Amino acid sequence: MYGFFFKADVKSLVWYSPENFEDSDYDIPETMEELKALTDQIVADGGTPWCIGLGSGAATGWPATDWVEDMMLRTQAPDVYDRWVSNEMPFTDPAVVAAIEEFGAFARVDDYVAGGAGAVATTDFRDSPKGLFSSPAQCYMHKQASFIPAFFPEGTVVGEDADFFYFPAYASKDLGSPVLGAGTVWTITNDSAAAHDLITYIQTTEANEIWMAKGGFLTPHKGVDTSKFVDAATKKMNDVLLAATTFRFDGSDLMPGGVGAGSFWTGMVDYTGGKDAAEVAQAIQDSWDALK
Amino acid sequence: MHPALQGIVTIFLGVGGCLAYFYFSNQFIDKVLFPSKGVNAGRNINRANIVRPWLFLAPALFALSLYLAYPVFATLWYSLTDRDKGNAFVGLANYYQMMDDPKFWEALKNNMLWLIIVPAASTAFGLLAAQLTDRIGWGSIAKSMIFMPMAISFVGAAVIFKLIYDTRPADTNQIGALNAVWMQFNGGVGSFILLRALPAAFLAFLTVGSLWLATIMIKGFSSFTTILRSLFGIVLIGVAVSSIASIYGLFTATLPYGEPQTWLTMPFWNSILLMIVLIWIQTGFAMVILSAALRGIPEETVEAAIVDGANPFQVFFKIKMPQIAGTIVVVWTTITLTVLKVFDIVFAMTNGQWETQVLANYMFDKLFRGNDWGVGSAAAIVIMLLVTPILVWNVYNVRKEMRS
Repeated sequence: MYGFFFKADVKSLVWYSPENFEDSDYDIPETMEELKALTDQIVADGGTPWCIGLGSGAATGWPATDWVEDMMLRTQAPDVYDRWVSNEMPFTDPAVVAAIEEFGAFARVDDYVAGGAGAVATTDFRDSPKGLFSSPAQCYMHKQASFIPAFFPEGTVVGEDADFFYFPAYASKDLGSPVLGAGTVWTITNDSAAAHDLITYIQTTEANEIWMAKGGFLTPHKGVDTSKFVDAATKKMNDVLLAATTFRFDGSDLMPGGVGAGSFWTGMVDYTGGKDAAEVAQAIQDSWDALK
Repeated sequence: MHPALQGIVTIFLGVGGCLAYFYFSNQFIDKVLFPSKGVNAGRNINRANIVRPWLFLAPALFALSLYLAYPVFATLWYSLTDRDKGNAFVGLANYYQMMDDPKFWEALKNNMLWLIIVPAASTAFGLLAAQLTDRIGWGSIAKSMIFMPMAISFVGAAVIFKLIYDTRPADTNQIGALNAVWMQFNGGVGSFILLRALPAAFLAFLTVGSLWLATIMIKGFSSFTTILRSLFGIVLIGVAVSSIASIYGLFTATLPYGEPQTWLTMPFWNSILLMIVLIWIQTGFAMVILSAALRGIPEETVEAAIVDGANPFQVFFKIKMPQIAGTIVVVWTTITLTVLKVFDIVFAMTNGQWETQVLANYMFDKLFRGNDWGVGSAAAIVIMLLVTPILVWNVYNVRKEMRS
């Protein structure tokens, strides 16, 4: 073992307003099929299902990479994901193009997103979730990582005014329940007895539980007592993590900077702007080839 | 230590250090190295006077070579090597790679657009503001208002304008001023007047104006500026032609009334919207310099023109403009240099997306995000090659201004 996760982040979450779901009598979707059915249902009822915002100043586009990564994990086996991230399998592979189009199936449909598909690329990711809480609601669902409550309107209580569910997997694909995330990997760079002691200690349930009680901490440690989390919402979030059959690290962070923090971002902006998925994938692959 | 205290100490040490350097090095050269007494007093004084300028210039020369000359050569070297191959020399491979990148050509094209539009618009507006505020009572208040944006950093201005161009869904309040105004139009008579008739009138005015200026420019075959003037004239004819085309477009286009527009994603127009930010900032600069130049015009020349029966336009274009032509060139080229380096505005507002890329942002993108030192450095060299001739010309003009 070279390192291990201590403090993780979960990205495969969909945020919603329980009040709005109750008013319209919507159920939490358990599968991707149900999620898509719910999306259509909301449109049929005259609402707008999603708030999607890719804007992030100079980093515009990154939220879309999370979408595509989540879609990869939900349409392909984990080893395909790994080969994609390492570019053993090119970006132009039909599997990747299909995952991009899965994202497009949500973000490129005018009726599905608040403000229409044209607004997706420019809406700031920090402003995007606010549509959940406006009255009347601009949208019903927002897919974003565990950090997003920091950008909810002031006074929003997670668990009451806002809640989340696991971004579900396809029931028809038999890929388990994959979770996309990020986290802090601990490793020893300067070999010493004290470093070994610290690493040994933070692997214990005790060390995990201390931070759990402080908040702002998720752990992939399966042995912890999840009742020790600072609040119910964090516990629920950690349950998503612990229930994962597959955990994969944010792919764009693992790709070379020129791709994962460059052409992948801009490519996704171009894609939401109406460019063809295969064309975008080709451009990203070209930029990756140029780096080699 | 408190940061303010740290600052004071730094200033004290810095200024004190400089003073100490000049004082003690001067003492050293006069007293120790070449003492101005003894048998060789005369020779020593001469020698000290030869060495002294270099001694005083040494800190500046050192800093310049460390922070200017060295980076230039290092960048040139990086642009010819490949970091991933252990800094091996690869010739022009990085440049070829850059030439193959459509984003590079997009950036170059946009830089050219910026180069034509921003200095021209800033200087024109600055001159207009300087002339109009010259004789009115509240002129100085107007001037300070126009000058104010100069005090705002480019990033700050970019954030302000990003809010102006912001888009919200149709049924919500538009926080972006531009969309808030846009949503008022409904395709009625008011929309026709404001969005089609008025712009058309403006464009017609622009057509006539630029054609008139073009004839002046091309007519005057006199000095070495002939080529420059005819080039300028050709650009003006281009402006006139495209204005006529735009008038046609104005009346035939169907405008999406009632739908908030995502202004920053409209190719070409978004570049113009970004340029407006820089024009907004630079107009104040142009105005202040040109205002001073206008004040410096001898009153007699203007009076003589009025006595001869010149109308205000003739006074402005035939008496005042020629006399401040040198200053206009300096203002123009100074803004041109700023424009060539433009980075912050594009970085903060679109990051070069939706076809708004410019060279400096392209360089940053390759160098610091893509970690591609070769191509990034190649882009930096291209920027330097573009800036240098204008810089030389600018310095030449400033010196000419100072001599006269």
